[in-house]
This record gives sequence, structure tokens and C-alpha cells, in this order.
Amino acid sequence: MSPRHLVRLIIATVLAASAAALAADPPPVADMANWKCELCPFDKGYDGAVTVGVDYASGANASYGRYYNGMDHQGGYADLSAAGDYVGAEGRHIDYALEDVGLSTRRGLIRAGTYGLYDITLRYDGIPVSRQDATVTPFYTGAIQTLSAGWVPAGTPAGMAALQSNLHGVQIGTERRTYSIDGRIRALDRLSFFARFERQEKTGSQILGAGFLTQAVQLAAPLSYTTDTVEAGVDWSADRRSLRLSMSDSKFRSVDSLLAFQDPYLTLSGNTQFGAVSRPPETDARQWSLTGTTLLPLHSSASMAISQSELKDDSALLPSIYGGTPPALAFDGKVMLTHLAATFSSHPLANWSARGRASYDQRRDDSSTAAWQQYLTDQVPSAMVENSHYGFERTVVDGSLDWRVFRQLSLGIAGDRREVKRTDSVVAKTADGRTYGRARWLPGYGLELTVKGGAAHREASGIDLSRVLLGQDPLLSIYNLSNRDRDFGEVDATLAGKTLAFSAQMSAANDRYGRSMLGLLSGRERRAAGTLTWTPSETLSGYLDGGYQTRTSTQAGRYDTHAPTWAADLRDRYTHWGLGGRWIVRQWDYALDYTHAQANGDTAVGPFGGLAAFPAETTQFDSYRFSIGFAKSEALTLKLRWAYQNYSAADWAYDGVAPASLTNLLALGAVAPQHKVNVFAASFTYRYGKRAGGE
Amino acid sequence: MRYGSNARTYPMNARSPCIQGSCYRALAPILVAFALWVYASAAVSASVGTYTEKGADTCLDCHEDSAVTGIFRTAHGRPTDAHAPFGHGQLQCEACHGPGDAHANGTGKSRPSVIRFGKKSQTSKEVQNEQCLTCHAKNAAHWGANAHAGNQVACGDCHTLHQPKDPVRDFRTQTLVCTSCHQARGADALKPSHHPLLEGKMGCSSCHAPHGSTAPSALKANTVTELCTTCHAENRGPFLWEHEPVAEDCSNCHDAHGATQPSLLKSRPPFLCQQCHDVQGHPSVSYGPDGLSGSGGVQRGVFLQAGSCLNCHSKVHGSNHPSGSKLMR
Repeated sequence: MSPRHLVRLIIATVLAASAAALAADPPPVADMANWKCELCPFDKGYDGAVTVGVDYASGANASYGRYYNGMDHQGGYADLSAAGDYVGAEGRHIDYALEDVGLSTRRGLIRAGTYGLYDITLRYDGIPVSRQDATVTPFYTGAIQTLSAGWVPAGTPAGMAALQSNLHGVQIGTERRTYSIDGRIRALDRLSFFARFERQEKTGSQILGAGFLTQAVQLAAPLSYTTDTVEAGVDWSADRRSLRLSMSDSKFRSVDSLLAFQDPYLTLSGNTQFGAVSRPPETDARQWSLTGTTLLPLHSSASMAISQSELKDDSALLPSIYGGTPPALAFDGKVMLTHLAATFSSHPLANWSARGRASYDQRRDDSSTAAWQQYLTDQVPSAMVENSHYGFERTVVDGSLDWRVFRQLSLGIAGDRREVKRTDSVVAKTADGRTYGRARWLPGYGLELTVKGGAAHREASGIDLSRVLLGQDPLLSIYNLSNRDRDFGEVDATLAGKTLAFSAQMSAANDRYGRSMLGLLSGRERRAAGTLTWTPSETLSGYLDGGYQTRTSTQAGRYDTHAPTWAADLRDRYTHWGLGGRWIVRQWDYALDYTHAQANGDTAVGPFGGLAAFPAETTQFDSYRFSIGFAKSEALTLKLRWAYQNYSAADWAYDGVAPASLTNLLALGAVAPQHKVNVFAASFTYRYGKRAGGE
Repeated sequence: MRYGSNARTYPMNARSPCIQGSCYRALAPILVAFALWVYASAAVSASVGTYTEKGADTCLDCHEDSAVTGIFRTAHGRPTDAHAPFGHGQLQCEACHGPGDAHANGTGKSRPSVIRFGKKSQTSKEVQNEQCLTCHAKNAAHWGANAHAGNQVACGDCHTLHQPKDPVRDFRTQTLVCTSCHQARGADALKPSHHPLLEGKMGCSSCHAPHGSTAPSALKANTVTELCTTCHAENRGPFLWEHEPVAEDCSNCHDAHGATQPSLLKSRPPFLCQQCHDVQGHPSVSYGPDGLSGSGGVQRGVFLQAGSCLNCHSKVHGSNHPSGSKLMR
């Protein structure tokens, strides 16, 4: 057989197979003359529910408020929620939900429209995060963080005579509020338009470090950010293909571009000195993107995405020293991002399937470049340094092939290659390759077992010695820029019975960083997690879950030679387990949950063979929740809830670090989180309204 | 050897056994078998039966419980939406469950099942998904190449369509649905530093597109950095002084699913920073426990405790201060 014959045979085969697939797919036709849907309880009318109650949090503090619950102090909180919806005759509808109205976690949603034609949604969501409430500072917050008139500078915080008398409390934490309105309208049978406006506000304060050569201060830096995003686009869809074109514009604004502060230390000149730290720059981001998909014969599909983004910073440049003149009007920051991608999948036969994806991402920094005068402690000129333009081109190709050998067994192979070419980087290129195989076994009885394992290798090339920072060892294994070998494996198991179900996941991975004895040398992870659920009836259920994880890494460093002189072993262990259940019996609804989570971090550092251990880092979390609901009638439900949470932590980074504890850091006295909180809650929910033909 | 009318040299090894066409001949029966196999599988999938006489009324005669009629409080059960299964001229229950005449008129153990959805369904995942994708292909443009499709996840494994509020579409319950398979991610959400997933302020779908995307790990944005800065826009830049790993990928330092270290950090400073920095001077120093406050050794507090490296290099995500090349201003 000649090659020409082979080509003909292939074409004939594909055509025959396509024809077969198409010809053998005649959809049955329904005779709908008697399809009245008279028994269909279509939704119509209105109903709603209001919940009123009170929560009391005993012992609540910032540590407890860290869990996004809005309860950062001891006291009572109103428990108010309301929800309702209305469906009219022509499919017009409106629904709303207001939750946690009495807390800063409150959120609301109002949605209205006509089903299948258009809808508009307004949303609000609050996310409070408390961080610290025992922090203290001698700085007085204003446009400039100043010290008291009688401040006595010294070389160390302990020597600052006026420190203790000037310390006052300051809270650290933020609140994020998101407002949005979005809508969608179906203009034609195949065309719909969508638009969205979203405003995110983030206010509060954060811990911000500021250094004066060898001394530093921690500031309670106020922050006030807004991000406005507008997005609009159009969707087109036909039977076998679809397309989406969208554009977005986002503006980030910060109230302050600079945080100035008074130096509490003895200054080089002996005078009162001010320093300044930049705040996040005001930036604009624009993006347009086009995505599409098409279904192909033989159960195949292909999709693509094209996207172009631009990040810009046109804001006025800051002065190089506090009170000075900016060295230029603006920095003219501009970064272009490009994303091109395509995917393909096919399962022409019930037993075979193949998938693939290729993507290309480019980050091109077109910002202006110049040499900028650097200053030590906002006073002493030092070097002129040119700003770098980091950019990259990232190409990723991945694919997999799966074969169902028989109904109970599937085998698959997969692989990917990720290549990153960088500009202005020490390492010009890294290439990651990964291959793995997997087997899925379904022997019956609800058991499903999946085993996956493989290896990966990363190769770094093109080390540019001219870009190695002065004094940095060029052989240092930089975390994301060095050679790495990885092997990994994973086992997933599920067993689904009539009332009992079990699911578990186990994985292991080993990393070895080669080519150098400096930097990161190795990493290892082992983890397992599983859940057992018991559902004997619709009104009774229980669960038991647990998990374990350990992560270890070894790294080495050096003082002034090219040979490693010290090593560090880091190990983090994390375990958790929990159990709970729910039982509904007649009018009563009982629920109980217990969760325990514990993390231990071990650190040992020192010369090789003589590692010294740090105090262990530990966190322990225990949470008990119990609730009883009583349905007095279909309209009225009463609920009592109790929750107890105990969180304790020991962290050498924070423990014992008061404002004057360290010789060269005027600290805020932040502490590792600790809390023991009881929350008692009582509420009633009243339901109203009636649905015509409803349940 | 000459090939084709252009008489170009065909670049084949003259010693290949294919030179005599033997391997092509060997391929021929395979290709024919392939075509027959496709035909057979297509023919099997075509035997789908006939529709009921009265549509949904036939089904609701028996399936009248609220677990079924909940569908009428969902988008699928709206009669005024011409594109929904219960819209005018649509196939009602059989739009998803397939022709049900044989099921409706069957009796006893011989009664054939309609297409059923969910983890306990006997219907193959491919058939389940095909039913959904008939209408929802546009909502799942990248589904075919998605890891969920590759791992034979059916739509009904995650979605509960007859329930008025599908748990996977509500942030307060979505995490529980996702972590029923992604168990390790569920454990991560309990770690001391975590995004507000279990608190219901975010869902897995805040970052991931479960139906697929062209980004790695089915992210909703093109890259990790682009995704993170959707909410953390203060770190998106451009900056006059950039920190290279920040510009490239936030996950170089942060573990978005949860961490035992504060601020979702993968490891604790200064050791995290020392994985990349060993410039002679303080970045290269061995910070042992003797440097801790009160330990009696040479105190390294500003380098080791409180914010560690960030006590001075606080602008680790980038700085626009002209004198900020060391990310201190």
C-alpha cells in the first residue's frame, strides 16, 4: 500500500465514522399534542421569612473576629435576617435576602427580572477581619504619624524614656465592603448582553514596618482603598458553538500615597527626622477578552481564549526623601499582559478519550526606566539604581489520554510542559516537564479507587551573572528558578453504600533541588484526609472526618564563602478531625458539630551537624456547636444555638515581643491569636406568604 | 524514491520496512475496525426509546413528592422561559431524563430506568453530561478539556437540580460540596490562616471555574497573579520597584488554600525569604534560636521576630517610592 492509499484510507475512515455517528443519532420525535402539564406545580405568588434574635459573645476579641464573623468584642449582637421572593404570571420575579444585618458580616441581595429574558441583581457583602486589639504604639495617627512633644529619642526602644508613658492602644484589622450591580438581557434568541459594576472598599489599619538602616519601627498604618470595576460583554450561542466577548476596566484608588512618620531613634544628624513609606499606587487595569467553543463530530470539542490587558500607573511620583521634590513628574508605569489559549477534547469511542490544552502568557513591562537616587534613612544619598523590567513569556502544553479497558478499569497517561522565558531575571529560562499515569478501578459495591503517580523535572538555564545581586551567590537554588526533581503519588478512594459512605485522599511528594548546596535543598509532603458519612434516613445523618499533613524542607546558607555554613530544617505538621450530626424528629431539629485542628511547626537552625531547635510553634483550635430548632407551626420556628471556640497559639515570632523588647525594633506588641469564646444565640423565624399550587 | 507529482524526495529511511507498504497494510484492518467500532457505539447510543404520551403529567402521576417537584422552584421549572425544559414546546422532564415511555409503562423489575443523575446513578457519566451539555455547552465552553471531565465527574455529582437552592451555587454550602472529593482542600480551609470559605464569604468558585477554563488549575482569571489582584488590587502594580516572584506568581510565597503560617505564607520568615536571598550581610546570616528576645544570645530581633524581614522590607509586593529599590520605602 502506498502512502497515497494510506491517506485515502484515513480520509475514508474518518468520513465513514463521522457519517456513522451522525446517521446513527436520529433523535426520537415527541408527539406533544397531549402534553398539558396540568399536574405541574409551577411556582407563583410570594413568600418570605424574617429571623429576629440576639447573639451574645462572651470573651470575644480580635482573635475571634479574625474568623470573619464580625464579633470582635464581648457583648450582644442583633441577629436579623429576612428573605423573600415573588413570582408573577409572566415569569416576572423579584427576590431578596438580607443576612446578618446586625453584624459587620452583613450581606444583601435583591434580584429582579423576567425568567428567560433579563435579570438585574444588586449585592452587598461585608467581610470584617480583626487582627489585633492589644497592640500599642507611641505614634499618633494623622496625615503624619508623630510622636509626643516630649519624646526622648534613643538608640534602642528600651532607652526611649517617654515610650511607656506615651503608649496607647490601637486596633489592627480591616473591613472589606463590596457593592455590585449586574444585569443580563437576552436580546435575540442566540444573543445576550451582560454588564456589571462592582465597588470594593477596604478600610482599617495594618501593621507596616519601616526601617532606618539598622533600626525599624512598626506602624499602625491606616488604609483606605477602593477598587471600581466595570465589565460588559456579549454572549452568542448556537447549537454547537458559542462565543463571548467582554471588556473590563478597573481603577484602584488609595486615599494616601505616602505614610510619613517621625523617627523615634537617635538620628544621624541629631535632629528630629521624618521618614516616609509609599502606599499602594493608584492603578488602572483594562482587559478585553474573547472566548469561544465549538462542538466537533465524534464527541469532540475545541475552545479558545484570547485576552489582552493593560496595567497603568500615571499617578504623580513621590519625593525621594520626606519633604523633598519628586525626581520626576510620574513613573509612567505600563505593563501589557497577553493570554492565548486553546483546548481540545475528544472521546470518539466510549472507551477512549483525549484532552489537551496549550496556552501562552506574556507579561511585558513597558514602564519607563531610569537610574534613581537612593537614600539611607531618608537623609544620606547612596547609590543610583536603575529599575528593572521583569517580564516573562510562559508557554504551557498539557495533555492526557484515557482508556477504559473495561467497565471496571480505566487507565490514563498525562503530561505537561511549562516553559518560562524571563527578561531582566537572573535565570533566563526554566522548563518544567511532568508525566504521570493514573488508574481507576470500580470493582462494584460502590467502591472507586484511583491511583496516580508520576515524576517532574525542572531545568533552569541561561543564568545571567550580570544580574546576580552584588554579594549573592550565583549558585543559590532560588525557590522558583532552580533545577528541581519531583516525584509524587496520590490515592483516592470512595466507598458509597446505602447508608454509609467513605471518601479518602492520600498523597505524597518529594522535591530535590539540585545543582547547588545553597538555598533550598529538599522538600517533602505527606498528607491524608478522609470522611465517613452515615445517612440512614432523610432525617438523620452523621459524619466523622479527619486528616493529617506534614511538610518538611531543608535549606542551607552561608555567611561569606561559597560553601554552605549553616542549615535549617523546617517541619510543619497539621492534624484535624471532627464529628457531627443532625437529627430531625417531629418538630425538633438537633445539630451537633465538633472540630479539632492542630498545627505544630518545628524549626532548627545552625551549623551542619549542630542544629539548634526554636521553641515549637503551635496552634490548637477546638470548636463545639450545638443547636436545637423547634417548629412550633409551619410559620414559626424557634432556634437556640450555643457555640464554644477555644484557640490557643504559641509563636516565637510574636511571643514576648513588647514595644521595648527588641534592641532595634520599636514593635506594636502584636500577639499570637488566643481566645476562648462562648456564643449563645436565640432567634425565631417567621414565614409568611402563600404560593399558588406550591408545596 | 520519488513521491507525488512534485517529484520531491520523500524523506524516508530507505531501510524502513514500510518502504514495501507492509506497515500500511497492517494499519488498514485497524482503521476499518475503528470505523466499525464508532458505528457500533453510535448505534447503541441511538437506541433511546420513545417519549411518553402526556409528558410531565405522566411522570408526576407517580413522582409527586417534594424531592421531585422542587424543580418547579428552580430556573429549570419556569414555564415562561422558552429555553428552560418546561418552557413552551420543550420536552419537560424528558428533556433531561430522556424518553420515558418504556419506563412509564414498564412494570416490576423489567421496568427500564430513565436517565438518572447524581453520584448514585447507574447512568454512565458521559450520558448524564451529554444531557446537560445539550443546552449548557455555552456555559461550559472549556468543559471537554477540564480535569473534572477527565476524571469522569458528572454534572449531577455536584449539582442538585431538584432542590430550590442548589447547594453548590451557594457559598455557604459550596465548599462542603467541593471538599467531599477535594478532601485535602477541605482540611486546608481549617488552617489558622485561610480565606473565608467555611465562613461562607467566598466559595471555591470565587477563584476556580469548575466547568473549565484555559488557565492552569481551571482558574477564573488568566494567571494566578491576575486572579489574586482581582480582590487584592493594591498589589497589582505596575511598580517602580518590582519584586520578581510577585510579578510572576503569588503562589511562589502564598498558599491560597490555607496555611499554618500567618498571611497564607508557605513557610515562616526569615527562612522563606532566605530560600531566594543570600546577599552577603544580613540576608545570609543564620538566624538561630539564640537570636530570639530573652534568649541571652546576640539579639537578632529585627531580622527574626515580629515581621522579620518585613520589619524593614515592608513593601515586599512592590514599591513606587523612588528610593525604594530595597522595598523598604
